[in-house]
Amino acid sequence: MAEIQRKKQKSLGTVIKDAIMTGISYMIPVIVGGGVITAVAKMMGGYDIGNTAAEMQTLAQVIFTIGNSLFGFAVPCLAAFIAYAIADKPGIAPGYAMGVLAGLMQTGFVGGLVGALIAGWFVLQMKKIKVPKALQGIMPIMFIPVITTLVVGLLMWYVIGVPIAWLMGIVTAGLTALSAGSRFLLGAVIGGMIAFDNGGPVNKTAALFVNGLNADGFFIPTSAKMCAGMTSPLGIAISTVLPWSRKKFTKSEKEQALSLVILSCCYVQEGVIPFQLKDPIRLTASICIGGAITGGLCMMLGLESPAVHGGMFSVAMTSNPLLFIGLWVLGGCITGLLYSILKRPLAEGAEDEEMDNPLI
Amino acid sequence: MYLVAVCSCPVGIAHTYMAAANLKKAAQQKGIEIKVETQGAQGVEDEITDEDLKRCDGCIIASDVKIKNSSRFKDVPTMSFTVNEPIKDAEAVINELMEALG
Repeated sequence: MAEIQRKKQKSLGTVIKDAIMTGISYMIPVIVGGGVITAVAKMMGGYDIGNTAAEMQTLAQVIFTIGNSLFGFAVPCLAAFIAYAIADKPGIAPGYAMGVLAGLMQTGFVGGLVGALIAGWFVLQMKKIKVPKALQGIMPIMFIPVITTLVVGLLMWYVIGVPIAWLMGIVTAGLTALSAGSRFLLGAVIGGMIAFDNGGPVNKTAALFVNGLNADGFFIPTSAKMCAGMTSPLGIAISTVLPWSRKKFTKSEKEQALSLVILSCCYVQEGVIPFQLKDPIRLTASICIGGAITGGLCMMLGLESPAVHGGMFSVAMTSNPLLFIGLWVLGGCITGLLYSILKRPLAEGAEDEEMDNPLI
Repeated sequence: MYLVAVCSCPVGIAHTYMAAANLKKAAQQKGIEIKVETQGAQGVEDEITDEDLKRCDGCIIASDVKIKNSSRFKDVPTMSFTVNEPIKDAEAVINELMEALG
């Protein structure tokens, strides 16, 4: 690329963040697909079907195994495409290995992530080595995958993986043993962060943590994430129809209310962004509070959602669909009510300017 | 003036398309021709072809992830942005590239 350098250069942090985001973007269909299929099997054959699935006697056991075979790719896929983002195609093979290794070592998604970053960096260094022309062709298909996988694999197994496995053991033990109060707090932090910038960096940070735990088989934080995220568009839609705040919105804003409800059902928060850009502080405060309360309650009540995306389409897969819908509506009402009070009235004779919302 | 752009984001269902829509709108207001390729969850849409590459004066990449097939822009002056920048202010993004192109 004939890259023109901008005044502010991409920092190392941004490079790592973009690599992780690339990994996640390839992992999402894997965890959604696998999560939903195993959830269908659980609905058919009982919640602990995972323990007996290896028998392969009933249809539910077969379906569970199919879903699980996709779900098993979650961390390897994350790792492969993190390494790919750093080092291009030669990164994929060592990345997959680091992902599977992370699973074997019980280091969860964190192990896969760290291993993949190191593998990606290592491939990048190997690509810089000057080799005779005759060998150039087989570098990426022979030397890079063999040496990178072996060196970084050994490094992970004997050195770096050990403290990560220890740390993940503490985190997982801590998560299962949390008291109701601390569960609420954690859920509220997740919910607040998810609502905060509707798909921006803060949202993605929380989503990374939650999706990673989901890939490791912890499904409770996922419900906090999805349910909280779904409250923001619903809340704004509610505030545009409440009798005392209706006059505070322009005509084109009110026309978007129905679409916002549909977006909310699909767990697409981004429809809120045009509203948020216009009135950042008051709106962000409202959606954060609504999201935090919903997220906190989701975790406190132990609501599980195996699917990380899907909104209303994956509600049936949650451990308690009615509770999920209830908390979603509750959070939406809190957000809507707060924003209806906080929002300033339209200025006298304000132009009814057209508001573009590319999602609607 | 003919610009090409590639938009992409981690989930690929919203930011990608919002950034693309804003870039098209801002370019239209400035009277610049633009073609925007989106790399969302559905894969590549409105793909930038070899002919576009021959004809274009500059390229905008608005992405938080590694874009597919980035090597095709090696002969095009290219500027990289986060996907959020054109969503917030697409005109500033285009201006920044135009300034650099001179």
